[in-house]
Amino acid sequence: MNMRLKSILDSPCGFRYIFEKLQLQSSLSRHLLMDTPMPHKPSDIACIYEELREFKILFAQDGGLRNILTSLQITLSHLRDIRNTVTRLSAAATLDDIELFEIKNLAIINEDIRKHLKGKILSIDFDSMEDILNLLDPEGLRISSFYIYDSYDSELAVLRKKMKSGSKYQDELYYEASIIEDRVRGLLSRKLEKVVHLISSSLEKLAKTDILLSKVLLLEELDLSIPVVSTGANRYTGMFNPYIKEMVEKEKKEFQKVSVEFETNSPLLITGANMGGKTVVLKSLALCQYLFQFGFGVPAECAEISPVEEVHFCIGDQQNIESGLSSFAAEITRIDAVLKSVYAGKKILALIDEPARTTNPLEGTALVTALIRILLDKKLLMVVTTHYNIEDVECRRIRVKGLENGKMNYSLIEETGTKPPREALRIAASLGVDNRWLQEAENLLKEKTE
Amino acid sequence: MPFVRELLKYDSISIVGLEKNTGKTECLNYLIKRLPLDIMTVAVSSIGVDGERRDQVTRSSKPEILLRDGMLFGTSEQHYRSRRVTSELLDIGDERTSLGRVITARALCGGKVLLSGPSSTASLRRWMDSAIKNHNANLCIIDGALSRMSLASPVVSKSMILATGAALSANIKTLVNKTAFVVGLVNIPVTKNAAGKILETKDDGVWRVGEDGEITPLGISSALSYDKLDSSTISGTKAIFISGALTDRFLNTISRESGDKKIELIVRDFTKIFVTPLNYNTFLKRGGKVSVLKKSKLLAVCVNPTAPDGTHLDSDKLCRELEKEIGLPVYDIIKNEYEA
Repeated sequence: MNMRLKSILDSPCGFRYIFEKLQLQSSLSRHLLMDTPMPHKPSDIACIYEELREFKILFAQDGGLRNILTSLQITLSHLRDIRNTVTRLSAAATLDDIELFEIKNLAIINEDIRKHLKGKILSIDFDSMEDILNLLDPEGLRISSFYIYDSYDSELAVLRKKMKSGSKYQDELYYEASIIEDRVRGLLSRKLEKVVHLISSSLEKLAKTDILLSKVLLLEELDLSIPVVSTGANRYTGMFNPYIKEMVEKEKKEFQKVSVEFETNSPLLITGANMGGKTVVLKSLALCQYLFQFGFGVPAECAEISPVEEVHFCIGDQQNIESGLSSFAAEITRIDAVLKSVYAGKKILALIDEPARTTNPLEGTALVTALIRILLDKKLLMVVTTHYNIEDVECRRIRVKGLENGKMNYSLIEETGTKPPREALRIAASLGVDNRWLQEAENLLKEKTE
Repeated sequence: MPFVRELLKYDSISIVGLEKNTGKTECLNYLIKRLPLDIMTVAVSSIGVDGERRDQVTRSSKPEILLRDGMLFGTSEQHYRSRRVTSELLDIGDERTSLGRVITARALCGGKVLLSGPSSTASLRRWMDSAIKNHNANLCIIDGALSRMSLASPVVSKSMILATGAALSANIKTLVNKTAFVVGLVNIPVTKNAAGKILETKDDGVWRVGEDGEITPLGISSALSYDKLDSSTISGTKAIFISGALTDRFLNTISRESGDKKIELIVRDFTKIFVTPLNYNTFLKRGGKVSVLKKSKLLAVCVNPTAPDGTHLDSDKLCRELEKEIGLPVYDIIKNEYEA
């Protein structure tokens, strides 16, 4: 599974919301970022954060280069995706004026950014494109326009003079000149072909600059933090979900941040009342993991995150149901994929929301208990939420604190017992549903316990 | 040839053909040939490729534009590659058309190019603004594609030239009538109602202007769809402003319901009028009045007496008859080499 960023954009964890907030200046940066395969080596991810940290120090609100941020962004907004031209150049094609114009523009952008960042940014080493610029700007005007200049060929200059002096347009002269122009384009293309690596690496480095600048701005906009790369454990303090936070704050309410931690070889079971935010916790965990793997800031006050090769986010969303599977079949198939990856020895994070909830409680409980049992000693990071009473397995349990004086307390606390809290009736009552129904349920419960 | 000198008063002009092969491009070339380029920078472009495609269908060749030294032009990547002019590439636009992005370039000596510019009036307006602001153009000339009257809107260009000819009708009488109707629309006067300034800010809806100048909604969402509109709705109304399109149905309703009362219909500009000559003239004859908020200056009408099907009309007679009908000078620029 070679995951690219674009394949997780529409994950139910809400990655797209964050992605669309990035102020990328060039569509090239957007394309390159979307095509990035998900890094999973700790050293690779640490390296991306090293660069982000360097950019943050320089470009944050009190950073030394903050004053030139806007002008850098304007320059980067002129960056075009000319990878196609690079391919053609490598294949020994002769470029036309439009392509030469675009290479010249790239060189101008490269020199402008290099001038500003040289010696200040260590993580990106901009190559000089001065030679390319001289080649495409033989008259040294340093403006972005381009044509086959007279100075490229003495014969051309003579012909052009002749064309200018004539009062009428002469097809013959234009034809003659165009042959020379084509020859010049051929020569220019061959010279550029020799430095094509400079052109393609400049595209990458400028796009990388654009991406890092927009990641720095995102840190500020969404109040994200740079996490620590850990091994074998995920620890979040004050984790939140930016999208849900925004929704909650729109209704003039306060979003309650939560803290949670879990380790490999130790599945974490989250129980708790309905509407207690268990699914939000899972969504936030998935979101944080993805953001981490791609080197973004994460929505938490502080975080330690362990890189994984795969993220399995099993939540009851509509996708599989639409493709014809029943909700049960869709869910079971997804969890089976978790097991397959675990047995294949992959490092994974599995986040499973209320497994087997659509079947009868007896079998459901058995399925969940069995799932946790067989994965107890496996090297995976796993969080499972459930309403079932999972008794016959030793694992770490936490629960949502629940209703306190009619108000939901979303914080997660250690759970010692195995019984899930009985709050469903109280919460249903707080929603104002028909009392006769709830009273009848209350009676039934009493009969059972008596 | 007076209209070239007249043209220097404006920063933009569009050339609109009432039918293909009415000599639009000849008209453009005629202008380019006579403009004093030594004292001004001229930019040319066209709207989209609409007309070009149609010409390929009818297999009549699309004439190239003759560029002069120093002129700016805007055309698609595809047509830039096939240009026959030495030119300096200045800028590449972000928007994509079916023939690629729009290139802005400067001709470095005389030459020829096919024009295919931005594909919408809004992006055309942006191109013109950029030519004026970034490349110091004093005048933008827009070669109008067929049936895109909207680009003659004063929002896009401040002045216009109308090209008509035998391709529109082989009968001089019909040709004159059809042309005169469009000329009549272009020349609809700007409203004298003092409310005009405020109406310019109304982006949608239909508005009533009362006897004392107060502006209130007429109570219908648009002139395209309404259930009930009778004499009681429009009683005490001096003028009605239609922000969108004026249609036959709306015109007839007003004509019927206003009775003896003379109501002024105000539209944004003449390109918003979509009514048949018959209904329009009936409305005017009954004492109705139509006016606009913004008007573009019609500089000249040019005729091409020859149609691709071989029809050839008497040029002098055509010019004479049309002049008599519209009260404006009419030129056959292909036949007559007028002095600048």
